[in-house]
Amino acid sequence: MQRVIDSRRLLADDSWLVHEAGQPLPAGGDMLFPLSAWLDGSVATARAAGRAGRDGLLLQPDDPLESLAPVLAAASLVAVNFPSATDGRGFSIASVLRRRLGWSGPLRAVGPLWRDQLYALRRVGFDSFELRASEDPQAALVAFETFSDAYQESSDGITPLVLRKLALLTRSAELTP
Amino acid sequence: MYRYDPIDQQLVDERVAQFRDQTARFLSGELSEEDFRSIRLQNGLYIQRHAPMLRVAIPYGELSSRQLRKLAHIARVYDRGYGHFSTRQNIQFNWPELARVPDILAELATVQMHAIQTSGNCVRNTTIDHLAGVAGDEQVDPRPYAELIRQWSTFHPEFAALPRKFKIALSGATTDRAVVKAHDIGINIRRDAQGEVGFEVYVGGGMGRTPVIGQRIREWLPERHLLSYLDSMLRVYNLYGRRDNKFKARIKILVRELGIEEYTRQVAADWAVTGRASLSTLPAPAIAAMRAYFPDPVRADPQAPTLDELLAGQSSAADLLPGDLPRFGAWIRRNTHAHRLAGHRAVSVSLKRPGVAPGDATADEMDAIASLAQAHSAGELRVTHEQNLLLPWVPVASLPAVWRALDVLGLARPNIGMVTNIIACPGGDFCDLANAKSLPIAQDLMERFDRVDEWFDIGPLDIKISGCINSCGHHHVGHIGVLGVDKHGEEWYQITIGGHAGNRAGQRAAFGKVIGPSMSQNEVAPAIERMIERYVAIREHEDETFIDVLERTGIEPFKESAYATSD
Repeated sequence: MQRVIDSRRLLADDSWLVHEAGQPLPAGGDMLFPLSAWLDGSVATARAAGRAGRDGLLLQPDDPLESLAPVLAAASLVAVNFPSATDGRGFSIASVLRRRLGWSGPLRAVGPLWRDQLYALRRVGFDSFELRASEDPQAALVAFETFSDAYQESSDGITPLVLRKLALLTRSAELTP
Repeated sequence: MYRYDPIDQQLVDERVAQFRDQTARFLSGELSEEDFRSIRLQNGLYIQRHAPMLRVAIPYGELSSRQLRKLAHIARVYDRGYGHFSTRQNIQFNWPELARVPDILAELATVQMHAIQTSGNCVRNTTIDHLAGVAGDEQVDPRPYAELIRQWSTFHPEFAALPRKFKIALSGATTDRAVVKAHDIGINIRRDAQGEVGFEVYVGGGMGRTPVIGQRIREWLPERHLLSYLDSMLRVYNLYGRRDNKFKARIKILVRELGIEEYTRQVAADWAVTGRASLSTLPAPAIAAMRAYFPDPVRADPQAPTLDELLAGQSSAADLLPGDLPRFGAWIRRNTHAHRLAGHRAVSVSLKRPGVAPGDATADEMDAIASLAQAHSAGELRVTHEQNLLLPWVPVASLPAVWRALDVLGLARPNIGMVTNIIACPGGDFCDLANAKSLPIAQDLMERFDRVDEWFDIGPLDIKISGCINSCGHHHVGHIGVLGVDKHGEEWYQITIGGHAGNRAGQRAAFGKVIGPSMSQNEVAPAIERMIERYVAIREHEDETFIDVLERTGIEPFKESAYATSD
């Protein structure tokens, strides 16, 4: 059973595979490579040697974010690993990618994720999500509707509520003769 | 005070529905204990010694009569008839049943209340000066900014799984009554010569295991950047704060390990990009719109009787019995506070009395206090970090009536700032984290210092008791602090002296120093009593405070008294 939600739909067929350290670089297929494989040139070497399929970056929470800019220029997808429910670094990594480094490509959250995390993950900028095996993917789809609005800015273009209320006030003042 | 708009109400209602679903999934076994843990914590629910403890948020300590009546109702129907007002300006219920917590939250939502983010590793309730909007020494009312921070922090998607809990405090007065430098972020709100508002921002303060005074990261942050700058400060902490050791996970450790310069540089680097492009920059009209939620509910009354007239038995105080006047006068001096508006006082409702845990109030008391606030304080109340309640808008002419009503309730002890205004966490009687009980020591001390004339003789003195190093009783900043410690499975206590919250103008907050070896429960109160007797004996005049004497003599005389045997 597929466990990846993309753009609020359950993906029938997810093509991305994780490249395990020490394995030879595959000649084809969409592969997620660790940052080290990008930084030491192995991804570029494989590509130069004719590797087909797309290259993705799999970030761990303690990967250095300063070195990402050249990698992002060549990656087709960035995935961020959440090792546990209490490790929230990935939320800020998404913010850095979206708001500081200008990453506008696909951003995936991976790890033992479950429905109660999806709403916040989407707000900080993730657009696809790999669920843990015990989660019911159909039920998880509903979690995006948990809240109908939000108070604060994140990576989804929402303006703080206080500013939207002010805009309404201003508009109604203009309409009043 | 702030009133919900439809969107505020909708979000809180949606939260209740979400938690109802999550609780049902947990009770049916679909969610594991581990999964449910972070969920229930973000909704204020701890698993405690006897039962779950539910901590209800009172945002920046502001409460209406209607809300207090609802808290009384919850205490009566879902708990054992009382609640505990905490040093974090919240209220805790000690005996709710897990399956009924969603119903409690639904009841709270009907009066614009909730338990969101009152525990867990997230941004907690912002605390402020309990005299906000009322104090004579205030430059800027912190409440509109506290509400902006409440909204910013509520369900903030990026900061729901921080390395550790995160506490923000604000003050806009000359005297810091919010202990801002003992918080993860502390903000003094200031107005410059041009009338512009800006923030002096401190970071990395806190009590707990490693007490640290916060360091200044910005001398002047223009008010429009409040939210985007908080985002950058929290982002650096969320990314780089330690997660390998719970005791080293607070932001103070990150700031110490990086150094304030490097932490500041990283925040600035993030903010240079995200702050510039931020959608959260607040133009002056947005702040003015928020300020409009906090109008004065009463008007200055220059014709009102003066306190002197009241105390001379003139004007409306004439209906006080002559025998009441000394007690009324003592209460006026200790439990009422100068007001910005002529003809008004802020009135403390002392929840410190013998036989009752500091900060506890029964449902009937809450109802009675709510009615008093309705009649004499524009229907508004505050919770103070000293675990008392406060009526912020009382006309001077109402003081005799308010005093009489509180006196009948047993809530007019004139002990605010005095030796029996003891702060104590719930301690080992309730809390699962505690090493030792706090309440028996508070009780023992209250019984020893039971006479009002004795309090006035001793003068202002803060005693603060924590049952463990989490320091919920703020013992580090007590003139006399007591800390429960575990010694080979037994409950022992460490005494510190000389701490203070830095709440006198020009005074810097300081943490107390340990006086010597820890002692057993029944030794603590007698030792404190002997130290206080020693203080009274060696002070040079009545206005020389405990802290003043300590500075003059050093720790030795007090140490000697504390460890003197009774013979």
